[in-house]
Amino acid sequence: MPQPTALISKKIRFDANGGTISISLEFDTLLIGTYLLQLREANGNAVVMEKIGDNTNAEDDVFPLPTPARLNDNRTLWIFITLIDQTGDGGDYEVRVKTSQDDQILDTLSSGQKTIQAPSESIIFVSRLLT
Amino acid sequence: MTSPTWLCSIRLYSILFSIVMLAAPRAASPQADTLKNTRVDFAVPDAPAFKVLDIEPGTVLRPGSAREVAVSVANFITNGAVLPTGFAVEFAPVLIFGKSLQAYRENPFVHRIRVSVATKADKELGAGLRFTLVDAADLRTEAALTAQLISIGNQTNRLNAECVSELASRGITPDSALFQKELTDCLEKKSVKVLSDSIALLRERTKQEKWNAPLVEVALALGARAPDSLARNLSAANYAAWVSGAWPLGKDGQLLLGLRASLLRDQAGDFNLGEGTLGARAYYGGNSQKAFLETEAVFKTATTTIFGARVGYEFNLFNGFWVDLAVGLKHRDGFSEATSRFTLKVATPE
Repeated sequence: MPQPTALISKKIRFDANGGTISISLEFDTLLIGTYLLQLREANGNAVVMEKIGDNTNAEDDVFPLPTPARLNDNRTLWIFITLIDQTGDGGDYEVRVKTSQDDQILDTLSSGQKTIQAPSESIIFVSRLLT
Repeated sequence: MTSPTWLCSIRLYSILFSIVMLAAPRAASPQADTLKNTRVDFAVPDAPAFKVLDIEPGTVLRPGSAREVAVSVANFITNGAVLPTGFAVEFAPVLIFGKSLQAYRENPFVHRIRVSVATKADKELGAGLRFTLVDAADLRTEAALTAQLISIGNQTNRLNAECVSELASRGITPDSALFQKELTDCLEKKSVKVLSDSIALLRERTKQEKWNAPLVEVALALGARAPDSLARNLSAANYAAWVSGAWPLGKDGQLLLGLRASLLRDQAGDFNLGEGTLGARAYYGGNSQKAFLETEAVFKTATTTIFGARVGYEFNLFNGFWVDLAVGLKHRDGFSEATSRFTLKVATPE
């Protein structure tokens, strides 16, 4: 039986007149980690921006949100993560999502240090962006 | 006053057991049963520290994919007593503390370095280092499996996103107390379990296909001996180095070739004795059980050459536990004598 999807949510305040907001994903694990990032309109399911990726390559998992920054007011950032035990030996993981603006970190969401308990585990990070 | 031998053995085993437990904290997880049901083992490789003490007859150092921790206990029945005469633990320190899959894939050599320590009959200690030059069976670097698992991860993420959209259209947001339950129900309806189950199947299939994949390793080890059971009287007794390679023999077979060079003390206590060994081992079977035939020739300074041959059977007793049985003959100066071994190998966490 797959583990229930964990949900980590928070409201994040940013400066409407500030610079670009960027999202960075960090995986501390030897497990495979995949992600789907969606920026959705306020009070709706319309997806403004979407990115997918994983932790097996050298590409940076950093994404700037649309500019100017105030466009993102009241939007919701959804990041769907799935960790996969590729060897069957289990393993620890910690996934962090950092939101920053003008090189200043606004907030960090973390899964916390976990040990995978099934072939795959999912986490959803939800950030409500507010000015 | 010298401690009784059995007491020293218990102390040493306790230390080694502690190393295993410290290095594998999740083995004690209350949900370990979940993991047990999803694993398929590769056979546990030989530890160089074990081999340098000659606890296991046979000179081919068996290569194998790195695990965080592996334990070997050998020769349970000696002189009528049911006690192991040898105990070894091998661990991969960088793998244990590794935190980046990307770093692993970019530099697997460092992550696969293994350190081993072993004891024999309470008066001999071994320490070894193993370096893996080639490992085509490593699931962390296996390209096809990785691509398939990433695809499963992406599909799982997409199903989560679809469920979130469906819940939002029904007015159920993350702030709602119903969210978690409704999300779980939605994912069940979308058969996300099928995706999760397919991970274990893909992993098992890959391990079955890769059990005899090419592997090349180099190892170094030091053996030390004490006249009594006090560790402070230990002195170096021998040094050994190995080169081992494994290659597939068709679909169901594997050929191992090994070279070992040792330097030993002579009667005056100087390192003047050399020993070279050439060995070969052929396996036939599958990942979970296989028969093997092995042979070797040992060349020593100023002595006659020794030839040995054994036939054996290796099988997975249950998850993480492997048994290695072998009987054979050793031939020297026109005389032959029977040899045997029984080794239990345990890989953790399981």
